[in-house]
Amino acid sequence: MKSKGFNAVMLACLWVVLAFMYIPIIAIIGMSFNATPYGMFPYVFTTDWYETLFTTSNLLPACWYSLKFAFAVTLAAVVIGTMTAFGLQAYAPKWANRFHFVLQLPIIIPWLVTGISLLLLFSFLGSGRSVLSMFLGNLIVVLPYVVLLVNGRFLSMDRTPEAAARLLGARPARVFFDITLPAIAPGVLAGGIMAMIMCFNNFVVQYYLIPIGVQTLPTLVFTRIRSGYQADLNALSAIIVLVSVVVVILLSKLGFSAGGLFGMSSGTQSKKGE
Amino acid sequence: MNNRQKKNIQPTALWTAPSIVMLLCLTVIPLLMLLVFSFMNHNIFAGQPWPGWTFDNITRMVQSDTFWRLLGKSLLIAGVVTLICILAAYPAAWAIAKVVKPQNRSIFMMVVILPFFTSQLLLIYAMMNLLQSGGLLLTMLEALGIQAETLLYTNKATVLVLTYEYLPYMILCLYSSLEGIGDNLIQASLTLGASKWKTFTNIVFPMSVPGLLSGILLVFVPVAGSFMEPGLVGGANGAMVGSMIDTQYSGSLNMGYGAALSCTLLIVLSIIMGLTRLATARAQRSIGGDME
Amino acid sequence: MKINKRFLAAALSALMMLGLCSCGGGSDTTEDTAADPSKPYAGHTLYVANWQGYNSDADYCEKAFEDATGCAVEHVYFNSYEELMTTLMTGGNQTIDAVVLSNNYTQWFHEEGLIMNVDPALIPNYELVADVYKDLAPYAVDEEGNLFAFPWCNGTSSIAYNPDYVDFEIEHWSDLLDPRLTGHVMVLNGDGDDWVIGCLLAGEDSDDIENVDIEKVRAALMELKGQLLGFWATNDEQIMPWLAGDFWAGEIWSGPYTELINNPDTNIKLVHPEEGTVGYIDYWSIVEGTDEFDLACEWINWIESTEQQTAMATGVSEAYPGDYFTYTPINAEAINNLTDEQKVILQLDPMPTTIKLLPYIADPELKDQWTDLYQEFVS
Repeated sequence: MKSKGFNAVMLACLWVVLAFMYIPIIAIIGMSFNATPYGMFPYVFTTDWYETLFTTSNLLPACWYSLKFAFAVTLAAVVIGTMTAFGLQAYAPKWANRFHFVLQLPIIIPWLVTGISLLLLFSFLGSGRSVLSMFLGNLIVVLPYVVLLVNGRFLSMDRTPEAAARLLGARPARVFFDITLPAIAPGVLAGGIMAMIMCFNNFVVQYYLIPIGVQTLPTLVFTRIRSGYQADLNALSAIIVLVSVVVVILLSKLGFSAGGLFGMSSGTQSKKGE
Repeated sequence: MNNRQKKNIQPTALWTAPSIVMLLCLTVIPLLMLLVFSFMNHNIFAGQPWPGWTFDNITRMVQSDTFWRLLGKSLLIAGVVTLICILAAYPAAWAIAKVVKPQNRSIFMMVVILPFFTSQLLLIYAMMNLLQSGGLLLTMLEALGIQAETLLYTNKATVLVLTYEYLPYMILCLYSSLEGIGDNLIQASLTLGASKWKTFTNIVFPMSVPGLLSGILLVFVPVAGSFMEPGLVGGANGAMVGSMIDTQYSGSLNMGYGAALSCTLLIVLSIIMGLTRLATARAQRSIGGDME
Repeated sequence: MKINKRFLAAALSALMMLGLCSCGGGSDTTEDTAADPSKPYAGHTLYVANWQGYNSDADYCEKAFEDATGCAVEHVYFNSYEELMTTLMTGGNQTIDAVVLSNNYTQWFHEEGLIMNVDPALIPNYELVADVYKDLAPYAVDEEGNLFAFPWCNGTSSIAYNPDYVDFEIEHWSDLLDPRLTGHVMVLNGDGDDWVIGCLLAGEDSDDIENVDIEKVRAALMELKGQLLGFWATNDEQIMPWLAGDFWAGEIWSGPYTELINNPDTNIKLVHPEEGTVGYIDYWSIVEGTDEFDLACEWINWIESTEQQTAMATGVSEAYPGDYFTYTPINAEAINNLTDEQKVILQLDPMPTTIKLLPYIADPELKDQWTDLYQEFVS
């Protein structure tokens, strides 16, 4: 190991970075209990914003809609993504590389351009802005992440049990569900969580494809900021942060490794290295 | 696609068909449409008469000083943000991967990704609140006797907010690479008498390049295309090229011109990313070459 | 075993996320309207498109209309007129019945065939519209005399300044160029407003934009740009920097002005420069292809009524009390009924002398030139 001093400096850097990341979050929580709507001062404690949130606010329906929407996109992305990663294993390396190139396009292209080009496509086709457009737009944005995460799992797993099962006469479906799927499950879950988070917070693609009359949480926040910011937004964020903390604690208590969750580069890179 | 291959494709490969269709229809075709629409003289909707072809969008773009200035500025800001992200994320990722106890690593990583759960817009608003005159930051500085002007409504604020938004991506990417470097490898290098710097340049850096590359990709590209953040915190000279592209859709509804601008942005970004990939690969090879 | 645990964890977290807002779900249940012969529109639904929080979705307007007619009013919100146009172009006209449009967009929507010509006889309350707003060509009436847009409310975006920071009188747009204000001026990030301000600074007439010397406007705007703290686009983006003491002088909307003038912690003074000020009229139009034409006429007639216009101007409704924003009415009776205090809040005291409405540029080439100028100004 390198020297203690060096490690201490690195650790200090980590804490500075974490402080930088968490100050705004703490500020949001602080502001959610502050009666002064613009800025921090004077700080007057109140729980009114929470009351507004749970009574008159239109945030909760939009939040609920976003959750349902993100869940639907995630489900589709996980099914299609897992199928793709599975099929990808049968590709010759040359074609796998080509496939990866196309697959990475939605990651590489700025969301702004993705949103605009899809708006052009759907306007041209006649469906224009619609829930389906928005669904497809979000699906194509998150799909590559699912494929990469599941593919990474495939590359690191031992494929001999599957071959053995096939030799012993198990039907392909049985092999897939009994052996393959359990082995890649962490990758599938990681992909699903990633897709869910990205979809829940994706403003840009939703902004260009959402039909008027439908509001997801990100677009509603944007609209609300235009018409007048209210601190019930902070109250909702504070609750979301709280729920995320609980989810994160639950996940890590149950031994979910974050390294596996977000080692998204490993899949492509090791494939490229072949 | 398969007729060039001598071997028949395996049936399992057919499982990729749905995503091939999706990638074609939702990525490749829209990109081609973007290119075609750059030469259209009118907005186009289903059922409306087909517009005519024109070079006006291209000449207007080429002659627009504003566009080139904004493009250059966006690339510069993206470069600065990426650099800051690398400088901040490298030590942080190293600390999580190598200094923190192994059983605590996943907790730290979870802590890093937690901000993703909250709406970015709200976090930006919270930052604006902290930064403005009379906000927490300046009030605290004042209490310490330091007089400072607010950062808000400057390009520095844009850089700060974008760095904030994209730093976690860089940490995640670097962490996944750094974690893969065996402790014993570093130990061996040091024991064999290599200096710390040499160990870094010959072992640690080359092995972290894949993560670094993905990190650069995930930070540089979206930052160069951002439009909401500069609009909120960038002030009078804040606009970036994304703002200009957005205006063509949410402002003056000129799809053809917007398509031309997006296409150019995309081409420039691809060239830069391609060059970065080449340069890093070369650097990796030349540094790594020392070892042999 | 481990994998099962992970599945469990993920399932639990998914459940938690779904459970997060389950309490908020289901609130979108629609009320069943009972058949009632006195309410001819029971069972009908009127879809109207507007900005969120812009008056017509307030209880005294929307709910009162529902109670009066028996129909249901559904508001759909847009974030820009371009979004609205794209939506109407791609099938939105099959849902949306009536839309709000600013005076600089009515002609465009009409030329694209998205909104209908309507016989004013079908809207009896149109008679009550003050003469200055009635039959205003080219914003509401085309060359053949067809009426396609009904005025609803209007406003000006004049100069406001904070006397706590500004120790001299601001009287003209050119005063914003004073070096003492450098770095503390804000204006709207919007093409129409910026064009008008540029023309006012350059001494050009934005009502005749085809003949304006665009280079003079460019020079004026670039000089103004050197003074700016930034641009605002929303209510908050005016209020936050104003209260923080970063925004000292510049263009302001009526909503933030009302909020700031009522805020004891700050100081604000409004000026309508004599050379002119930025003005807009917001209209309602009926969407071409609507299947609720009669109900849409009823809706427009309703919002142009003296009662509704007075409630909108005063923010007071006895039957539907609430905390409402106020907007300047176009109904002559409603205008006459305003008290002096209400006139201050509505920016009618002092009265603006000259109003320059947001321009609409029909010629695409000229529009490109002006759009490029706007782009240069805001970037």
